[in-house]
Amino acid sequence: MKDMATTHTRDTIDMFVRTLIQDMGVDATEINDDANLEDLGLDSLDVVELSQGVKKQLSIPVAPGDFADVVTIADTVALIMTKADIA
Amino acid sequence: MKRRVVITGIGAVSPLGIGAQVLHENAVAGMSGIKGGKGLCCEFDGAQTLGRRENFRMDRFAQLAVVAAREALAQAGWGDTPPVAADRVPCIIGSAIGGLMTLEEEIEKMRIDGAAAVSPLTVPKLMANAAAAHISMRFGLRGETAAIVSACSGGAQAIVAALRAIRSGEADAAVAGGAEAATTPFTTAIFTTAGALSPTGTSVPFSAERDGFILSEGAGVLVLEAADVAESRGAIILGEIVGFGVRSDAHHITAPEPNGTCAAAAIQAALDDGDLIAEDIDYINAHGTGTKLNDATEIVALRAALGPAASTIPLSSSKSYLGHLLGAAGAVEAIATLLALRHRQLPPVYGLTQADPALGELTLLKASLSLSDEKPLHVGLSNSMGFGGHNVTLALRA
Repeated sequence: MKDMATTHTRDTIDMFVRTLIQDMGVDATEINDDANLEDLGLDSLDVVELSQGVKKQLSIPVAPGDFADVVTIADTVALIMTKADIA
Repeated sequence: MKRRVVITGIGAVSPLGIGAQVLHENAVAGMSGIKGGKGLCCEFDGAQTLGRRENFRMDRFAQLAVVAAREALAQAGWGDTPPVAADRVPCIIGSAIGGLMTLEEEIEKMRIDGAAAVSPLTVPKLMANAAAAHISMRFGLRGETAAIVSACSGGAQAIVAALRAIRSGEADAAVAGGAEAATTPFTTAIFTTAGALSPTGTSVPFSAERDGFILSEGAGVLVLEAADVAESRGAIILGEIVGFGVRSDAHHITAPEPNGTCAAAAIQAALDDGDLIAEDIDYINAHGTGTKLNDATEIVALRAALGPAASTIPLSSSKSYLGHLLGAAGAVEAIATLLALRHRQLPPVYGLTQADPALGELTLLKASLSLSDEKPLHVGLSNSMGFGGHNVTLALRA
C-alpha cells in the first residue's frame, strides 16, 4: 500500500479532495483553490473526515492534527502532497 | 383552568409516503405501506428529499424528523422563526433507539480499519437527541430541546412533554414528535429472537392469526400552540389535545402487565384530564402491534377503563398498514388519529377479515368508516405502549 502513495500526482490529489468535499454535501460550484473550508461550511469534524478519507483511500499518512494550519482547498492539497512526498 | 393546547401543524414521513395528508388518504383508501414484511419509507432519499449536506451530517432517523418538521412548521405558517419568543418554544422528539445505522456502520469501520477510522460524526449522528437538535437549529427553536427515550411510547411522551410545558405557562408553543430508522438486519434479528417480530411478515393486529409486529421506519412531528396564541395570530387550528394519561407497569422490561391495570389507568387518566367520559369517545387508535400479548392486554385495558363502550367504539390500529415505527409510532399515530377525526373518516385495520374471537365483542374496523356529521367535533384516543412498561394515552378532539 505504501507504494501507492508515490503514484499520486497533484491532479489526482486535487481531484480526490474536491470529490470528497462534494461527498460531504458541498456544492461543486463553490469548490475552488481559494475557497476557505470554513466558508464552505466545513467544521473540525469534517476536517477529521477529510483526513480519514485521504489516509484510507489514498494511503497517504495524514492525521487530523496535520490540518491545524490549513485554511483553503489549495492548502489542503499542498499538505497532502507534502505528506505524499511529492511536493 | 387549564391552558388549552391546539395543533396547528403536522408532518409525517411514513411507509405510506411523504406527508401527513398522504398518510391519511392512503390509509382510508385501504392501502398498506408494508412490503416484504417491512415498512420502509421507500420514497424518502436523504440527499434528494432533504439535501446532500444534511445527508452527510445526519443519520436517517434525524433526516426523517427534519422533513416531518419542515412540513409541520410550514403548515402552521411559521416562517424562519417561531411566531412567539423563540426561547418559549421547546422541541421534544422521541426515539426508541436513535441512529442505529450509523452505530452499526462505524463499529464495522473500527473492526475493519481500526479505531482511527471511526468518524467523529458518529455520536452527533447516532445520539437520540440529534433529531430534536437538528430541528431546533434549523428552525431557531430556543426553548428546551430533548429526546424522550421510552421505546415505543417515546413519540407520544414527547407530545405529552410539550403539552405540559405549554399548559404550565413555561412555553407558548412547541414542536414535538418522534422519529425512528432502525430497520436493519441487526434489529430484525433482535426482535425476532425476542419473539416480538412477525415471522410471516403478514401479521394483522387483532386477528387470531397475529404473530408479531412488522418493523418500520418514519417520523411524525406536530406543532402545538397555546390556544390563545394560535387564535390571536389567526392560525388554522387543526385540532386540540384535550387530555393525556401516562402510567408505568412497574412489572417487566418487555412484557405488558397482563391485567392491563396500568394501561387502563393511563386511559382513565386521559379521560379525566380531558373531562371526558367513555361515551364521548368516537374512535380509538389502538397501540395494536399485532403481538399476541399486546393486543390482548390492550383490549383488557380498554374494557377496564371504558366499560361497555369499549365494545362499541370504532377501533383500528395504524400499525396494520404502517407496521411499527417504534419511537415514531406514538407521534405518527396521533397525527393519523387527528386526521381521521378532522376528515371524519376512520382508517381500517388493514387486512382484517375476522377478529380474534378471544378478544370478545369489539367494533374493529374492517373497512374505512365515516363519522356522522351530527356532532361538530369528535374525540379520539391514541394509545401507545413501550418496552419498559410505559403506557400513554392521548385524547384528541377535531
